[in-house]
Amino acid sequence: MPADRDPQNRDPQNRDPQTSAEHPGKAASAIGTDEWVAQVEDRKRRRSGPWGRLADSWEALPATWRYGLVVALLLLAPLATGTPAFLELMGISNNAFIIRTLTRFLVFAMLAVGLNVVVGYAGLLDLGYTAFYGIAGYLYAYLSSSFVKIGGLDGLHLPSLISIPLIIMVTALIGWLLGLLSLRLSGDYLAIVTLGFGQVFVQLALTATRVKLPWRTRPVDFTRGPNGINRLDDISLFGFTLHSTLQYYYLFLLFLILLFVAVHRLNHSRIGRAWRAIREDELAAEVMGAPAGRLKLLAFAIGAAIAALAGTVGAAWQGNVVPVPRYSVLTLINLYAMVVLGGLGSLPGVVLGAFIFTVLPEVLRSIALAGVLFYGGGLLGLYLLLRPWRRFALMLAGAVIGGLGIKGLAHLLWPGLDTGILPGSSPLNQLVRNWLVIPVEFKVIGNIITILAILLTLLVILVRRRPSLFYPLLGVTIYLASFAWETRLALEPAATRILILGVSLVVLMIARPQGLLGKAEVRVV
Amino acid sequence: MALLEVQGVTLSFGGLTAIRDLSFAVDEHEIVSIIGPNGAGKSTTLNVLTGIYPPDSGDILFRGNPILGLKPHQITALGMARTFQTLRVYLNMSVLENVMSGAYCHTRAGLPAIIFRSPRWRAEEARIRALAEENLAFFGSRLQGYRHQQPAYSLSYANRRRLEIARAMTTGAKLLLLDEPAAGMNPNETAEMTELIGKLRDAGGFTIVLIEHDMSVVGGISDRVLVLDYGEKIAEGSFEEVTTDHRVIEAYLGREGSGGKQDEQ
Repeated sequence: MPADRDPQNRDPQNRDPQTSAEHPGKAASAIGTDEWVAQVEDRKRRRSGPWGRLADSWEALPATWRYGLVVALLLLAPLATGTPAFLELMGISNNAFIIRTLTRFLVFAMLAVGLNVVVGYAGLLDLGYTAFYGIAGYLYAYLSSSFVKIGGLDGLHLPSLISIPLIIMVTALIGWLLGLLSLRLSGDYLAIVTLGFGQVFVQLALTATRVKLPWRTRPVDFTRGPNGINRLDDISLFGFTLHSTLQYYYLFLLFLILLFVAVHRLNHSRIGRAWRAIREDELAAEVMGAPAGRLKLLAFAIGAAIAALAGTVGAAWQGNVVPVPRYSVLTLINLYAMVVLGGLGSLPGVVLGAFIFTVLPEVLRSIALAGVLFYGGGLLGLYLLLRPWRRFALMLAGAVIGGLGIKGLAHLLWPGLDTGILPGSSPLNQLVRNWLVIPVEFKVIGNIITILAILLTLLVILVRRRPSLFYPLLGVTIYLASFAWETRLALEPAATRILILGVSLVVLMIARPQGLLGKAEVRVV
Repeated sequence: MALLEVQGVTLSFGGLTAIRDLSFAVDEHEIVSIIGPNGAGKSTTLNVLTGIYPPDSGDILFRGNPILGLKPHQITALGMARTFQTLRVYLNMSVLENVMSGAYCHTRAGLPAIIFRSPRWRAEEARIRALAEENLAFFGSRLQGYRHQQPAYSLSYANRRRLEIARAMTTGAKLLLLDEPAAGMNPNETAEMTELIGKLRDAGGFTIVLIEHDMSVVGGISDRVLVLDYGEKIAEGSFEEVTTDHRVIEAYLGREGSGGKQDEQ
């Protein structure tokens, strides 16, 4: 009797064993209509386009392979003796610079992993986080330099195997205490209190240089103010003293891997589940048996302990501690940007965020690399706007031919116009200048063209549904944007660097508000 | 001895007395329903029982021990768990994690055990996972299979209610306090929920305190019914007894001759 049949069962896919076989995990528990719903959701989740396909095939690899590959890359990165040819071409010819940048990345990655515990898992908006980083740095300076001179002793110079665990424990205790003081607060109020704590630390570090103690006749200098304390001991473990950045790089990589594994395991345990439950709904978590207060204190303490590890080994590597900007709000903002950009609550995400935030500004220092990024990003945006490939290729060809035509016309009609000489001589520059008309006074015209290019870009986005306006305007915009880059932006590297950084962050966050590897959060449904 | 004993509990918010001198007892393996018009103090009673609001006076004994002054998580650890009228599942956690999180109060693994994945941690984790799966299986095929790994926000309203019950079961509770478990469900689902509450008692061994507006649920399974109005207990007895009690009818329908007033409100 067809009328009696369950309407959902009409879908032939529902009973097709072949379709189910595509989803082995789900097919194991074949559950009629729900199975079908799952397949639909699975299809919806699948991404499209070349980037989507790339991401899908990356995610199809087993997790051990993925992490193994990343770790192998990080292990091999500094070993590239000399500089890869393409980097040399772009003006980076210093291997030490690359290693230093990567080491800085590792310090920030450790910090980001710690911040992720506090903010990402437990949901506590802790703006005093960099204070723990700083406190640990100063503690290391006291314990492992010639700064503390008591009873004729030239500094304490504790062995690292004692000082590092000691500093971590003390800082975790301070984190626990700060948590205890602010336990009743949440959200914005907690943020303000912890921000105050961070500010107090920085101000103390800057000003505690002439402290009068009752039992001393002369004032005591605790921090050496803005200059900070320098000549810190190198880390020495088991009789082996680290002295090159490369050695620190590998030590930090080891620390980061250990931290990553530990925090990952914590996240997938009763404690991690309780943290996330508290972030989702504190009252429900408490009523379901999780002691919210104690767990929040634990998150504070663990966050502080991880910041302390990064602070201690970071200070040892740098050889000094300086309050501003290293331990100031600027670093805090950077850290939050890393964590948010990478995806709050996602461990690989926050590490990726730290990588982008430490490496991208350095890459942009080289204006040639910035040029590659500018043109590459522009082409990518263009492709995404014009998909499929055919339209994109036609548009690009149109813009190039149009540009060459303009250049030819300019030579014919006004031979003196195209006589400006631009500095810079990378292959990309040479290539692009073949179709740009460069007047002598290119800087003045460049200013106007830059503003025009920005306005045109907005206009193009506005008229994207009207082909008769869209394509010609887009062609003009491409030409003018290239002109603006060559005549203005490429010539002001310092400003352009910040500009590109800002624009790419804005674009990234608009494209993926949940962060690069984060999961979209649902609050109320 | 009664499992739960409430003795003369009074709670007021400012000048408003939400619960006035409320006393009742719940025996083991009983299903007791609390009914009453909106604002009668039913949910507030649950909030007092679970330690969210401290009462002004009175005493509450659970398994013979006073629980006043204990924090909510301590009360849960003693064996009393609840669901919420306004659903409070952890939307961004998976279904299985939602349920497993309920096991916090009877698991012990500390930081070292978790970080080094000690055999004890493995055994404990396997135990809670099995417990969570078992409790989800209580609801038939609805929360099974691929659903385990889905985020809770993808669940329907009715499934979220079931998920909340599964989470409360996983705390190892003896006493379940269900706050309107059938709210927002269609008649079929309501009948199913009624049957399920009976099953929770018979097969699961739970004692149940139920707040419900749907009289088909209340009448179907309650051993005893408590009626609250303006924070006071106005009747107690079997469903048939209380539904014929004139004070209860007054509370729900208004006094005879003043029926028009009800409409004005």
